Amino acid sequence: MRITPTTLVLLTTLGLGCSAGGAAELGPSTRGSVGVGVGGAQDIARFRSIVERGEVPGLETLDPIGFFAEHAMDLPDADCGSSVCAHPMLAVAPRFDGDNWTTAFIGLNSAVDPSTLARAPVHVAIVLDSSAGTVERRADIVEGLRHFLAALRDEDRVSVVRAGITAEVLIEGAAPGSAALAEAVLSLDTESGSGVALYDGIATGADLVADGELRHLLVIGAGTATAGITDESRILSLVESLGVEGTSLSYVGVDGGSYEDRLPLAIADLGTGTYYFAQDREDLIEVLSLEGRTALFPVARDFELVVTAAAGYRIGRITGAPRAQVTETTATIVAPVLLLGQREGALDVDRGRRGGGGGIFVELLADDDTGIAAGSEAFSISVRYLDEIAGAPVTLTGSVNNALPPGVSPSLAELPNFSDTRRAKVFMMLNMYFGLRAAVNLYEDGDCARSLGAIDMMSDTVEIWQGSVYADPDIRADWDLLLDLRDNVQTACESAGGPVEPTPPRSFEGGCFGD
Amino acid sequence: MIPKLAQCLLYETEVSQSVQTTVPSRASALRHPALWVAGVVLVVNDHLLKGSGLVPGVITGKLSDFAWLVVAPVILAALFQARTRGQHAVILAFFVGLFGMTELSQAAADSVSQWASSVGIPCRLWADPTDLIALSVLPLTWHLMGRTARSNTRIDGALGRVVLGLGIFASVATTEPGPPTWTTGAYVVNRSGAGLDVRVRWTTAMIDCEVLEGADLGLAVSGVIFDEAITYRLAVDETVPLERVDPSTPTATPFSNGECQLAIVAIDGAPDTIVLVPPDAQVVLVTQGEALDVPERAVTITLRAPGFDITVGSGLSSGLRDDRMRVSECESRPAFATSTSMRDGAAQVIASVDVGSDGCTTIGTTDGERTFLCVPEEMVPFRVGETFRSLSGARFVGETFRLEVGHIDGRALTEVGPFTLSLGDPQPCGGERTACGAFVVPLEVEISGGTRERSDYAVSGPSSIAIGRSERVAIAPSGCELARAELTTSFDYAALLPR
Repeated sequence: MRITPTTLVLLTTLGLGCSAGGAAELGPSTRGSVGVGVGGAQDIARFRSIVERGEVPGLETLDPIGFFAEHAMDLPDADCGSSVCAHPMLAVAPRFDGDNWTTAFIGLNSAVDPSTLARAPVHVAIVLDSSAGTVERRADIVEGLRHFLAALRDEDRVSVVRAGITAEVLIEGAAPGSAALAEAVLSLDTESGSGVALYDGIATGADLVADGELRHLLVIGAGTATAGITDESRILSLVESLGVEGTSLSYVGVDGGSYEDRLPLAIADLGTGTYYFAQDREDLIEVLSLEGRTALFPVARDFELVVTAAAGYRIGRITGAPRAQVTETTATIVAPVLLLGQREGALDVDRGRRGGGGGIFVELLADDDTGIAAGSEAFSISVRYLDEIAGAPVTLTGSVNNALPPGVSPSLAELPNFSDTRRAKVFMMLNMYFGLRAAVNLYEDGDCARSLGAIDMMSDTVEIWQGSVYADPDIRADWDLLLDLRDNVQTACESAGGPVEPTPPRSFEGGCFGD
Repeated sequence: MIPKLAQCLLYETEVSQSVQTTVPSRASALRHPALWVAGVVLVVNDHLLKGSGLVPGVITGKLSDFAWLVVAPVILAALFQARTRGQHAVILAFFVGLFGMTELSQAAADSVSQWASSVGIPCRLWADPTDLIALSVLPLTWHLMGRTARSNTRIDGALGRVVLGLGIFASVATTEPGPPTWTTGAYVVNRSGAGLDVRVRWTTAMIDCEVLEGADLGLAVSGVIFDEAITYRLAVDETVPLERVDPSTPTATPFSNGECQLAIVAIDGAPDTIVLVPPDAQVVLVTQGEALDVPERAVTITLRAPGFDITVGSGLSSGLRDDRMRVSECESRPAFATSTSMRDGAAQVIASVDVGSDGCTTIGTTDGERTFLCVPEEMVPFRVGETFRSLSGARFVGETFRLEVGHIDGRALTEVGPFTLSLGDPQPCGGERTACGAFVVPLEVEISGGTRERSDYAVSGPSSIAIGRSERVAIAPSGCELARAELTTSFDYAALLPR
């Protein structure tokens, strides 16, 4: 079975026992913690597919949450005593231009083993849009839904809604193996494209599954909402409120030539479900097959994380939480619900991307000459949520000190200063993301020299990292992706304007982890 | 040999001396060192110094003018064998008139450039009144035109032809048409002392110039709305227009057509700077190596080791790029929206009325149709068992009440039942930016008729009206949702009225 990053993301988040500091263990899990995210894409499949085609992707295809989700993050054990634990960390390094790089990371995980949760019968509503994009892929979708239905259990129930100009219920509450359901699915193949009443479709589907113990919406679409209630704030508000009530939503994007990922990504950022982009027929079938074996359990509602910069620091950029709101000294991230996924069945896997990573990075801008001594607090966190398992509100706090004074960096000859040296990988992962982003952004700007230079600049850092105790297959895979991207950038630039001399950019968002 | 040569020379000298009094005097002026110097200056300046960076552009521009006003009238006078001072005056007046006209009028300069190009003499002229200082060389020119000198006829004839040819060449031969000139409302200039790469990004989003001129650009403008980008390599003191230009036209003109433009100026080692070029931008004519000094329209890059400073002129608006979502201080109201699967006008019986967790009400009929009403709950009067119709537009009629949901564009007065509505002033919150990059300014809505229950709700007898999202969209990127994809000033309302 071909393993894609999408597949591996699901494996790790689904209770296979990612023990702290070690690789994922296969088979029945005993103890361990699983990563928890505040929503977003599950991978960067679209970005990868464009690189594989020999082209340079646009910046909009590089979702940071999707990128992080393809990495395994070995966080400390979730031993805070509640369903979701938060782990703050800090890294201090010089930037490539010699300036100071101070970044906070907050990782979330849970000690709840989804495999131990009782999986009640799920009522799932399939909402399929009638856009021209999905019409192009209709045969693939029908085949994928066959695999989806085959993966469900007999006690599950399925409804099907066609989201055209209006929302039309094709079948309600059918058993997965019923002939009527199969006929309803097959009838999708003949529908021609028209408007997409996405709000109506989701609301109708939610109404149909309201009687289920576990409630799930599977939306398959091309990313648009062109009929009925098209206001995006209303659509997002609906999805968010359904999530709070316990109805999760998975959006599977299919590209029939006119795909728009903005709305699906905005839905994914709510954290009430998952988002996949199916590159091709095989990927679509695999995604839908996995969806059939997956149940999503809420572990926390009304989640709020506040990061407060300590004296001597200000809040800079936030990466990994697109809905974060900032002031000069605080960053606030809210999510209506946090979900854990449970998957049935065993699966043979090859070694590779383990996935499941999630977390929020907050850049801390250090003020100059503060007189603050080394070892002082750099930032603190406050986490509040309603624990769905325990049924009680939870408040967690924490803080991290900086071993160096604000604004002071380790020398280039030293490795960065990490608050937890055993879990420094997350910061290198961030660096690799910044490398990808810089290369693509500069290419879009027409600055070929610096686009190539940004990637070349990373080589020493990657070599030192991979030669150290931190060596990691995820970082190796990231570097391979960067090199593939570099080839594409070089080819495109040289065909347009002749040979290009790479120039390292002075302004780079990441830190220099060894030179 | 020598004696024979000497005899020849003597003979020639004697001959030339003997005809000296009858040969026209044009050759003597052509031998004058001042003419040669002017000719050399003209050729060297046009073909070597201009654009080389060796000499400042302001000097190279003036040098050619001085030299040309010496060479061209003298050569023309020699060519036409002008003998009298009157003839000299006519020739000189022609050149002074031509020179003055093209320095005082850009239209005249363009006309001359066009004519010259059409006859195979490509050139670029731009008006600059300060160049009139070159007229101070006219006394020398007048002197050279009138000068006579003893000369050998054969030598002078051959020399005269050579000098004449060189003079004509120097007067009309120019370098290849230089770098394009631009007419732009703002430009970037590199004063850092070294060459550097400047990245400029523009946006295809629609922009409300009036709102943005008074806005915090760092709050209003997100990097996501910028698409087209170019990286320029700027030498020291070199310029590039900040307005988007069409480089395929001979004199590049901006795309903007009188509208304001947004651009991001980015260089390695300085924060990305957002610049708003206003729509009434004063025309600034720049070349790629020389600029009229209009500092209020300049985006100047200077060195501030180890990076750079980007300074924006007083005639432009600017801000530092900040893509973070700041906490909004605006009171935002929900958008009102409706959708129904019922046929227009068809009457059905209500089977269910459910308020969803998102605040929208779902009305189900006995025929299985659904209507979604995303309006305040208190605006939905319909009950189970009631006959219900959906009429075109967004009107829903029950047995006692009707619900009207509307979206009003513009500031015109709108009458809805006993109420009169109009858009009021912006909220004093600075506006807010959406995730897709749109920038909106929430507005108040003025309601007359009835009693104002709260800022967004009024009643009058059995009628009531609620105000939903009311805003002015000041940045409308094409990738945003429909409501924010155009520059609009609009508000939503929901009115409950007796049937």
